[in-house]
Amino acid sequence: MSSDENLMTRFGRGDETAFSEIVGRHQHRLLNFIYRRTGSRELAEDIVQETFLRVVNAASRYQATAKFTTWLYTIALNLWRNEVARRRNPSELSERDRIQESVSLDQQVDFRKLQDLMQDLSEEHRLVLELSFIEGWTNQQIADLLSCSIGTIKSRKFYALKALRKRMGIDDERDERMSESTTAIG
Amino acid sequence: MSEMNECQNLQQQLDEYLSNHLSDFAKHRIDNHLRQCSICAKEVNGYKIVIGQLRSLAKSANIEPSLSLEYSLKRITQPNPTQELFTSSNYNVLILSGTLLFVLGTIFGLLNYYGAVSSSLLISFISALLGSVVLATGLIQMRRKTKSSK
Repeated sequence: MSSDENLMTRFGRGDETAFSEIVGRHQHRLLNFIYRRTGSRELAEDIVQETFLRVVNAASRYQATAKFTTWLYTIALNLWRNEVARRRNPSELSERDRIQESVSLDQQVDFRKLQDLMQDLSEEHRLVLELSFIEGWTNQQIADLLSCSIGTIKSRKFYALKALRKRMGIDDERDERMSESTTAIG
Repeated sequence: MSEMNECQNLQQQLDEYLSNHLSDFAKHRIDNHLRQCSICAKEVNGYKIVIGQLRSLAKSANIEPSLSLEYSLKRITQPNPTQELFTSSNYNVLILSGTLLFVLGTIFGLLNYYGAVSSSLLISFISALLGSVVLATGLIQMRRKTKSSK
């Protein structure tokens, strides 16, 4: 199977079937990745469409210096951030856009549960968790996307995991023992 | 190796262990330790529950791309039919034929007005009007094309 980078090179030379293959590989995951940020199918689909349009426009200049997926998600994330900045008030966006007929009730309930689970986390912590455990990215890929070190990614990941564990009511015996011993020393 | 060292080994490789990025040997070593150390086992189990819940909710909340999105993505690489109609050679034809119609219409209109020829004034007027519309279309499309290519 050809790598994404090879497909992009082929597409840059005019092979349109290569682009169809790229779309087939990434559209579903990218759509859900953006949907988890927007909460709106319509807005997520607009962003995905615009992302691939930008890929097409940049195809002739594409050079496989970075992993294609990182580049693709960077474009999509930037579009989403621009959208948030343009609308100024993200809560207004979610209130209006979450009235959706195109998403089933069960999916909406699970979506809400997922949002509730991660509600205490910052966007950066959520990104690290999702990319790592839902998308299956390596720390290096996430570090490239978020322009920070692998150490920062690891630290954000465990901070986020501990926060979720606390939210789910799962106690941490090791942390409790460490805090007890710190108190005893103090 | 002491159990304490094994606890430290786990802490160092916990991220890779939870992300399934460990070799079989390293994973086997940690699995063995987890069978003997209840504190580590409880910690790892807690993380696994959280990750499992995260994956499960994300999976069940997943949406499928709509038909309109799939259609739009298929169309991205195909040229717009209206853009295709106005290629650079077509602009020249439009501009030339428009100019010709306009000039002929105007000449015949003037000749008719001064009585030099006996043709219909209306036909001359329509020809000049049609010529100017075709000419304007050609010029506008060429200008658009020049702008988009910049």
